[in-house]
Amino acid sequence: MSRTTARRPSRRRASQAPAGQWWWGDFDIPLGQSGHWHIGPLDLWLTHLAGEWRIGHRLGEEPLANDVRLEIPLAGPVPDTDVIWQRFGFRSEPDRVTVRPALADRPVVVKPDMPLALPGGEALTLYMSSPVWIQLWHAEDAARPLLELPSWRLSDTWFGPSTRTGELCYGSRSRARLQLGEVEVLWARAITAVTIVNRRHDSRPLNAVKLPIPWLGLHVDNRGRFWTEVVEVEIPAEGGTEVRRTERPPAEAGDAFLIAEPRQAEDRGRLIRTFEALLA
Amino acid sequence: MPDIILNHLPAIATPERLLRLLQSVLILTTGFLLGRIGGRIAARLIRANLGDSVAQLARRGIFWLAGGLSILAALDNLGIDMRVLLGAAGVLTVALGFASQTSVSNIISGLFLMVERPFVVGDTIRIGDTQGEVLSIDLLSVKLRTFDNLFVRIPSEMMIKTPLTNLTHFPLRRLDLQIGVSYKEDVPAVRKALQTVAEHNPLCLEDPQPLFIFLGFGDSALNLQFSVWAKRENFLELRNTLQQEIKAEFDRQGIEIPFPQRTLHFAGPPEFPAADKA
Repeated sequence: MSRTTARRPSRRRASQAPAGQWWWGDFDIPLGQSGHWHIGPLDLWLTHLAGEWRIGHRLGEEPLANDVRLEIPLAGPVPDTDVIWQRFGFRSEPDRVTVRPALADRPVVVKPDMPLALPGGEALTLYMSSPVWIQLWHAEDAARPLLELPSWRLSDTWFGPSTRTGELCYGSRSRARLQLGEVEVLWARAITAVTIVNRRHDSRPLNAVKLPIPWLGLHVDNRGRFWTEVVEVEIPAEGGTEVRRTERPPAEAGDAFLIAEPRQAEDRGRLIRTFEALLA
Repeated sequence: MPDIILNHLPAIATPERLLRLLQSVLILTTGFLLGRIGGRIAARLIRANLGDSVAQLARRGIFWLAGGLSILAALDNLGIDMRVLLGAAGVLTVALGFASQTSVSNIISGLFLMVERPFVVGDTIRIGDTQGEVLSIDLLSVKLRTFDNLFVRIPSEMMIKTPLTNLTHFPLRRLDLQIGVSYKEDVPAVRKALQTVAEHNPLCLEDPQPLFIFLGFGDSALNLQFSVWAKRENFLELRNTLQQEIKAEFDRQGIEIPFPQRTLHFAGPPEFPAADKA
């Protein structure tokens, strides 16, 4: 499949950002000033001092919090309680920070709200959401972001046949839904559709689905909602699993464009092995 | 003295003898060189499958085997009777064998350890009361660094004979918490409180799911076990954070962890000595 180049976040000042939607892009923070991003459950502060940036973050209690507020520059003082601060030193510290969304760095395991089985010869589409990560970049040509934080810290979980073999993933508390309308549409979560076709004669239980997030790209539509490509899983009659990833998000995403490339390069062999253990 | 040597030199250093000496030197050089090359090749081939320790052992073994054979060949080329040497070597071997039983046992145990590989350098193991990080796996012994930074040398023979626990072999580890709650508590409510704490701790794995076991009716408390899983690197942090969070949640919900208690039953009404009148 051809790969479209990720569109770079546009240069936009905070005053130009539509409230509640676009929390990412380029932001200028002059020396001595601070900026504040409130993105769902995550609060982020950046203070520009001589020769350094100080970046603080705090996670709230509610994973599905959906309000977005930007205050750049920040009028009041930065808080000093319950905030984890980190300092970054520069020979010549930049005025501009680029905030980019990204997908999770591990697969995310999502379960249906009730145990579900797919009868032989049937197909269905499951919709699920996962929190996005927020990356802070200090230079256009930087190889890696300065800092990367999840908008919500998911629990660790294990996906595998036993405690000896398997893979460490994130466990999402949001549930896989059969209807897109039942999925929480949040400014800091990406929606993934997984289409499963069962060509066997017997039913296939679907107790958990492992979203191969690191192999998916992040797209955003003109309303600021995040999407990934569709994952198509086929269970052939003779057994095994065939997995494909579409080039574009589902039709419901409209004219969404790619904003972040997949974290993992598409290594065909590894992709299939990972996808083979997609369903539990 | 030098004149005597110079006078007899032509008789000793005949061309034939010089040629043989030269051949022997060549045999020695070639033998050791081949041993070195062969050892390196073998080490490279073995390292990927059997690790550094076995690879080093193979490299040295091949080097000295080739070197030993070339020494014998060189001596034989010089006309020295090898039967005498081999006889002496046999007697020496028997004597050394009796004297070094323990060392030989350790060496053989070390070889088995290297091939079996129940642990590798960097693993954390427990043997008896000793627990620590493996620093090196040598032929005679295994060296550990304990968590309080002590150096421990454990003979290979002991490693083979004693049950050994590798704490870092598998990717996950289970934390078993023994919790006692007061008899007045509602067990389903306690179970729910524990599960809520586990759900909110991101280090606690969702799958495998936490396990709740009602162990029984203790002398002073209802004995419960709550087991959770974590990635082994997060085990210690989970142990600390989870227990603190359980305590906080129990305090918040008023769930009591009782002290050891005894109930006294008097056979009759208690009798108190009469107070002295002042």
